[in-house]
Amino acid sequence: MAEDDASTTTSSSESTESGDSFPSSAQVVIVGGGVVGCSVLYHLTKMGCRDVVLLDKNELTSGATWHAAGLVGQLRSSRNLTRMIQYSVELYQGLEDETGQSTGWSGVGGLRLASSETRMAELRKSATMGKGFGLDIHTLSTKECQDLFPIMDPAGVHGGVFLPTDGYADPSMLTQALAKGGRMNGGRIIRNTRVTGFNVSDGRVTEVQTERGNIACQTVVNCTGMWARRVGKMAGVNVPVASFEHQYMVTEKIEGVARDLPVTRDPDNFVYYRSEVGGLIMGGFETEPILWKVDDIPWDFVTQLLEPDFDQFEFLFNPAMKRTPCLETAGVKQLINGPDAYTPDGNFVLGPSLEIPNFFVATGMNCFGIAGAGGSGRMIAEWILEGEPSLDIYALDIRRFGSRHNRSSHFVAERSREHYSKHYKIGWPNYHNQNERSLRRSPLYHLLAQKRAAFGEKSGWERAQWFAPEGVEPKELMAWGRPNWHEHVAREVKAIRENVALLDQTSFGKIEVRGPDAFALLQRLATRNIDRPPGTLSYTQMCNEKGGIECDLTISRTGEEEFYLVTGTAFAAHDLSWIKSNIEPGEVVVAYDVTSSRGVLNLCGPNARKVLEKVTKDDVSNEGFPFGTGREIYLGSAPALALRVSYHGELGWELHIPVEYTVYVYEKLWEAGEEFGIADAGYRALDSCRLEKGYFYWSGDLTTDYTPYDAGLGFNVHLKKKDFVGRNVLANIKEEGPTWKMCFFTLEEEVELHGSEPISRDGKVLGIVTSGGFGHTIGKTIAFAYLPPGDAAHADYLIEAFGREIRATRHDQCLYDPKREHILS
Amino acid sequence: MKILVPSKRVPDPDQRIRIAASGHAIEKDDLPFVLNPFDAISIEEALRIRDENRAGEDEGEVVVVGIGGAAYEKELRTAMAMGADRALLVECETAPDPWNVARILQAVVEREQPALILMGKQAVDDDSNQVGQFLAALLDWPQATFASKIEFDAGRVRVTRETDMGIETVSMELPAVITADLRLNEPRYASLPAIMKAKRKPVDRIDCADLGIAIEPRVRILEMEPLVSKRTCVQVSSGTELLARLRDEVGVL
Repeated sequence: MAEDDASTTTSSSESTESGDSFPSSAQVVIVGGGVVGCSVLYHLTKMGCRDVVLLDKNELTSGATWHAAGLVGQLRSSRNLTRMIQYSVELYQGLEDETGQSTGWSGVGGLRLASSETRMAELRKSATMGKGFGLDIHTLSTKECQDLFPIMDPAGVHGGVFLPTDGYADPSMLTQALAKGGRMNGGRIIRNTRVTGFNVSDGRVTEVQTERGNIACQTVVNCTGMWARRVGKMAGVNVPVASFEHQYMVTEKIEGVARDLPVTRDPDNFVYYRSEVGGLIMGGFETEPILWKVDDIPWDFVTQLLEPDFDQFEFLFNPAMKRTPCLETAGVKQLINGPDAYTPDGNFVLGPSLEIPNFFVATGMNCFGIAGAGGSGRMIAEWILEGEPSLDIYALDIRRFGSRHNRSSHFVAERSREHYSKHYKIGWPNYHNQNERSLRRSPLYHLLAQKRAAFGEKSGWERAQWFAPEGVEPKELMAWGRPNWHEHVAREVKAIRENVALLDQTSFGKIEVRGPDAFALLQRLATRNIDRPPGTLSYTQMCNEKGGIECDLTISRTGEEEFYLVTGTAFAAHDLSWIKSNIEPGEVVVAYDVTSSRGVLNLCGPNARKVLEKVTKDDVSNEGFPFGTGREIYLGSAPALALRVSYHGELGWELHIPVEYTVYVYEKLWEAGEEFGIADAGYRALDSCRLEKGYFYWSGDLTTDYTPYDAGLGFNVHLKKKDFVGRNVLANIKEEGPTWKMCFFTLEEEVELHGSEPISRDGKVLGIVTSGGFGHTIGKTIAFAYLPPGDAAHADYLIEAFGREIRATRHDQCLYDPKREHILS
Repeated sequence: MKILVPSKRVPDPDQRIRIAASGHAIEKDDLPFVLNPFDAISIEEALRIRDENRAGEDEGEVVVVGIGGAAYEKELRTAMAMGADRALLVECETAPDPWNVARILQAVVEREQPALILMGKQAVDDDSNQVGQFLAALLDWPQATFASKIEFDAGRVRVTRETDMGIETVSMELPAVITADLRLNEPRYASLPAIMKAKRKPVDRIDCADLGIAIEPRVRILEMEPLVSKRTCVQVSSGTELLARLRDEVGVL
């Protein structure tokens, strides 16, 4: 194309590797030759898939990779993300030997400073967590930090943590090494060839269209970084990324900066440092970032930088000059400003897209692409070749952005902005997004707001977390100690356990599956036998081929060919995607999301039936409406699909009401409940109750890393069923014994647990906490954790939180009403 | 001694240049600009002459001049961040050709009365290598171009010049025009505080009318073409094959 020839100055007209003709087909086509695309190429070919072509519209690294600072920090917020980056480090260390191409890997270690007490507490928590992840991590005193980072002014430094295996790589060299490895194992790289479109038929991509011809393919991987949204759009795939300006400066040589200076971060001051040829690279994450572009990023913005913005950089270099006074006099060689793609929650977007299951995405690296590329490439290759990644990485799965507002460029920009801004702020576990709030509101929102609900945000929904009495502000305060909602949640739990309460669970995900083959499909996916008549419901898991738990939900049979599924607020898109991707050709069935169509009220507590009886003429006695059944009833004049389930462990009904009747039903129930002293309750009370009952949360307790047997859910695996996904693997596991045993613990002291705390015995770390929280009925902190079965028979263990070891007692059963008397009443 | 340093704002030599639709200009959108590297060398030398008191006078002043639009302030501030005392912007909509640049500078010189003009030998965008020479002629001042060393001695300046035929040393009376070459020095990088301080310093502005100059273009760009190299690479498998092909195909052995 003439336009491209004009912009190509000195590149050779031969852009294919070996002079072969342009390919007409490939098993996998990777679009984008940055560090991520080349990592995907490397891993696919290494795993034996040689029919792979990588296309780049210009040269490798010419997007954002070439100007990356190259830092690789392993300690992240979750174990699996940490594991991915630990793998990246191992990979980068060995790549030169493997390919003959150096990566510029410098294992100088990583130091993280605490310039505030709050941060020091967070670092102690991180160090504890890191140990649980098997990371080599040390908590340091101020002096020890100074010894490692001599150019710092220690005033205000409380201490830090150090990871000896962290470091940095040269982004271009690393990418070339990965590319070389990919080529060595049979992959092809074609440069200077832009993708112009995709051929999609029957919901699958069949062909990649380029300037030089079309390539038929089985799988596409979109690794186009800042262009990923634009490229995704060509296929009708939403990629939620927005590009922000990110700057770092490069200085000339500085006295006292040694080559082996560790990569150092001072997040309280929002800055990071590494050494560069005797000088420093210093950059950071300002709290008011500048959005560059979301859509329509020009194709020809290649190997290009943005205008340096010293005014914007002032926010970072003022504190940097205090922390490292040498910056006051060091000459500034360059202030590099390059755009980087951010996502609405600060984590990557990986995996098969919701819209097109064979169109994969691997992008949105949020300024840690060099660190994440190794692990991401491997996960994608496994996903493509083996059907799923070897680690549960739901937190990075693109399908978590399934709700419709994630398609809006405005939303993507606003939330990405928030997470860029938050990059170095304290990572409060109870953090709720702040930008674009009040996006999805239940019909009861205003009513509950008037009743002083403290709202949190999840998947765009405003959800009542707890209710504040008069005189107390309905607001959650972020702190490390006992939270400000503790006593209010205690009151709500008491109402649920001893009396009657109403919870608004409208945000729950709801899916309808209908058709002649609906039963066959669900029976094939559920581990439990769901061959039961209409009017019954089943709580079940759905597993993948390896027996890992993909979905955790209830399936209500509302008709012969009609099923109504309920899942967690954040999982509707994921679960629907799982179900749809398992529909076999020829099956007559439809599955769709109906979350928006119904409000959900949870009426629960020992007096729930008494209240319900006042409002409905339908038979809601225990004989007439047993546990595990569901049917339509009328509350006053309003219809509701009443499901007798229980996540809280009390007698209760989940009422799924067509949206427009929801407020009416609430008012009727409230009026009927007043004589009993009915109370509103929020999600935190529900969480406290479910912990006491040993009920699980998918993505926390149940993940694809675990099988139902690990979780003690063997009763939900009906091997006698003809065939279901994962059956054979599960049958083997039942025979040989599971790898893990889910255990419940109470702690000797009250402490705030947030997940990932290590649990140990006799000095050996056995596992990490998956869920934790205060059980208000039993008055103790509860923790869930998987232990190796051989270590799971003892009574006492130690759980480490905030650097302190706390005695924990293991219980054989759940902490409250193990005989289920309340639920079945 | 007052040293005047004329400077130019040029596209960053590390960035790709695209030709604008008109065909006789470059595309300036999203193109980073920098201070012409040879002018940075001139500023550096001027600063050293001032700070080391090389001319043997007690007070020195380094004034940097730029000709162009408001965007030029950025580069002038870079010069002030390095240590220049003052910056002067001659506001001009379109970039004048070398002859007109020299005429404008002549007017500036008449205003400022510097003892020395120190400037880059050429700008790295057009590589003209004309302004210094034009200016010296217009002022009727001695000139020494491609300077790699500048020394002062009793009111005269001795300049070592790098030429294609070897090193030449000339001695001149002041005032004089000197153009700087690559090996004169390595310019300093400004520190952050200096950069921020320079942002708050004023840049004096005048326009051509104030100088009594009307631009009379002498150069018209007819056409610009991108540089395209059709380099072909041939892989050979051994030294023997290389020699054979050089002898038989290329004919150089």
